Amino acid sequence: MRRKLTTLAIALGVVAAACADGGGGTAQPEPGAPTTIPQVASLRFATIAPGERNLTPWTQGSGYPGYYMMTLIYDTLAWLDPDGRPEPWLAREYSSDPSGLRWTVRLHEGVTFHDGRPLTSADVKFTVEYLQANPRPRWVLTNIERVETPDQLTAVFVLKEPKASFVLNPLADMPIIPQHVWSTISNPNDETTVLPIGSGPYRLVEYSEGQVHRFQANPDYFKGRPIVTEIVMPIIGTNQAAFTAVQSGEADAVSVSITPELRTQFNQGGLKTVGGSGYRGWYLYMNTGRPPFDRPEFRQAMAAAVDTNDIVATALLGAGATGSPGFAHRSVPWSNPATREGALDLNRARSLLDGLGFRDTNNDGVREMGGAPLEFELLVRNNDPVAVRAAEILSQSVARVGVRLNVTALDQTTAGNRTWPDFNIGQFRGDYSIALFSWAAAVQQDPDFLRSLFHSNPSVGTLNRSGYRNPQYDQLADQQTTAPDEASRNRILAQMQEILARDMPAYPLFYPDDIFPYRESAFDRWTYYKGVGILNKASLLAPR
Amino acid sequence: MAAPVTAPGGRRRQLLRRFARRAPQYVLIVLMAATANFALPRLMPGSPVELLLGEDVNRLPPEAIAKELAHVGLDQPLAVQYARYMAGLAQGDLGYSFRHRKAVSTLLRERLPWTLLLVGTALVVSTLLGVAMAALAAWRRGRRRDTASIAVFTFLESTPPFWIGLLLLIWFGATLRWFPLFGHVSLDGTTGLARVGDVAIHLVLPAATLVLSSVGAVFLLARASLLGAVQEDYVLVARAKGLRERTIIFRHALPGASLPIVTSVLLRVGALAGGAVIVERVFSYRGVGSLLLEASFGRDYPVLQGGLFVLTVLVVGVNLVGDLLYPRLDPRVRR
Repeated sequence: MRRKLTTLAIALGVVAAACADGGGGTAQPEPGAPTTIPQVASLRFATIAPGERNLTPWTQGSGYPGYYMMTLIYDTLAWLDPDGRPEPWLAREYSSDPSGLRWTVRLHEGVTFHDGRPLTSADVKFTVEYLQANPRPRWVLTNIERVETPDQLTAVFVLKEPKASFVLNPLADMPIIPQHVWSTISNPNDETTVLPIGSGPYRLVEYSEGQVHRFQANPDYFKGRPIVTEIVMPIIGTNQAAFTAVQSGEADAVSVSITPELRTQFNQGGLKTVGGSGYRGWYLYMNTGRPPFDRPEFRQAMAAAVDTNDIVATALLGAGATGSPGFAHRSVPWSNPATREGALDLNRARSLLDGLGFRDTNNDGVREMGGAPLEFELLVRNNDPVAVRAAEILSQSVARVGVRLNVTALDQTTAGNRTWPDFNIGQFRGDYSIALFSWAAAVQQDPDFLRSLFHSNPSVGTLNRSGYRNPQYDQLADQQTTAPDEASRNRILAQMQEILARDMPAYPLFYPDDIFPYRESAFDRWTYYKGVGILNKASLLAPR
Repeated sequence: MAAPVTAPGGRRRQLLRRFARRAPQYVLIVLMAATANFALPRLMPGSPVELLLGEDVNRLPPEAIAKELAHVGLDQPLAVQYARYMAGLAQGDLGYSFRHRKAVSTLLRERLPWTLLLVGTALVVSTLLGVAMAALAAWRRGRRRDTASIAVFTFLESTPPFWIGLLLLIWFGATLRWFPLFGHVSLDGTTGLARVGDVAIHLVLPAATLVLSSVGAVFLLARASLLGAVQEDYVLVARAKGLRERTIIFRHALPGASLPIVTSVLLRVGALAGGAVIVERVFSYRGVGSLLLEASFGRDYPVLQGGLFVLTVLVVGVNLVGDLLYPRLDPRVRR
């Protein structure tokens, strides 16, 4: 009986699929595709970002969805699986010699660009050299001495110094561009009108500025024909309009996460949500060059006064994870268990402040430092409502130990300028005392970021927003990058986390959960990339 | 209206004289505006470096940053940048967008027609609607409907356009599904008559938002000037002639009250263009407003300079036209 019902249901499903109109979600399976996964004719994915332009490696803007739109068109040598573990992609295999200075990459045979030309080791070599001449912040390849191409399918990267995260970046991050297209382009930043040619599962067939990106499946993709034939990505002005478009059926999914209070609303009427704990986080930064934040005891007191559980419970309605004093996210493999748990301890905060001689002499509830009240501006950018709420809670939290923080919400570019005035490199001169800053998921995916984030040498610590200086930390940070194996590297990383938990140049507060709404009838194979999003190759390719 | 008889040639001469008197003022205004448009974006804190080179630009070697800054001319002293900008304007060159890497004039050519369509529609509809409602209210002044409409229009006048826009978007776009939620045209290209319909249906909600947020001002002004006009002697004469109240309001009082209304129409062009910035964003309408907003977020100086300049010229131009037309409407200012 049950089998009969199932058969009937399948038959009805087929009839329903046959009756669906051409613009709808379903279509008959096409030859060549695995029979279990039906092809989807068309999908509408709303994006908010106006800055993606024509999606070349130089013109795409955001980390998500921009980078993942771009990597529908281009392939990388390795690629992260949805859990963030690298696996070979364009490469069949890769390995380094014992010195860690020579990485040999063997390419898949028969991979072609969208124009039919083969992708060879010459394109890999060209990509590296072209990026060295025209670097992007994501791919600064100064550590690559040269690329050798012993044959068409083998590329050997010769490094100046070993890099433990070499597979994560560049191998799993740097898109391979066709030499025959780019060799004549002198400034890739200007190239915003041509439609890019890559080797990826999709071709960009239309880009209309401020209006739409339109992708068409690459039927000859070397990992199989993508499940969705056409993806239309309208560029929408506001999050609200994009969410409304998903609700009303004008879009099938959207690039931005909804705020937690909307969760119920987006899990009914044919809508579903997918997501999880994100690595995109918010961090309390303190300017170590500015009194009293130059005193580690003061920074510790601030961290001990912040109730991160309250922030997650109140500002995120429980939809998030708290950060760890050791900076590393508690679920990354190198996270040190000893520095995982929150630092909240009001009595400790008070005694640290007392110890520094900051007492409330005039009984107004705010402690004084040399006669002046401990009152500071807490900087936060204004385009994330959750962060502004968190800043308010944080300032109430810290007020309990006698430090007053006034929340100042600024637009992103202005806030950025306060961190790096005029992008002056060479010496940290941040124009702030204490701030709530965010970092993209990538910062937690690759431990080498612990070096860029806190190294005192400005050309290494390119992301050192707190102006932190500690020679011992610098030394460990340099050691971990050349560590011979994972176990010894993790030991060094654990020591670094202990130093960070003690010195507290930045305190990870919370990681909001990602909650991405989509229309189930249009497409229900969205795969959440841990900490990142749903638009990615894994969602659109059949598993093999 | 009882206009004195003037020979056609004399009228043209008069217009030219008036133009010659006004033109230098307007040129000065445009020059000052061009300077302000250069200065204001640069007075905003923050820099376009991230827009030029990407997020976390600090990771780049300083030479790479310097190279790109030189490529777009931002390495030059402000005086040089200003001189280049003014020289460009003189030759009709509005510069080159940092974000889109296209000539600003190309971007504006693509987008300006849509903003003109949106603002023009809103201007015409809000004026007609506001004046008609005001005439009705003045006709039935003091009655319940008049009082109610004052309340409604005062409320609309004080409501921010983005809020009206969002409400219309959610109600008429999402709940009733009468109108599309985003865009200036459908993404699947249409042609011919279908295209006209497509453009119109995408125009309804954004234009309605602008109309609703600006009709209150027209109504209140028109009602006030109509009530002023009905106190005039000629209206008393009309009434003494035994004309119907409706005829008195529409045929006698309204022409007399039209002067401040016409003035307000011209002045509202600027306000509507400002409102369009917000409305275009709410409805993802591809006009100059959304372009300018996005440019201000990224500090895309050339787009801000060029876009604001063109809007300035348009608004100043409309005012100039109004200045020249005024004597036709009001014999008292003819000299």
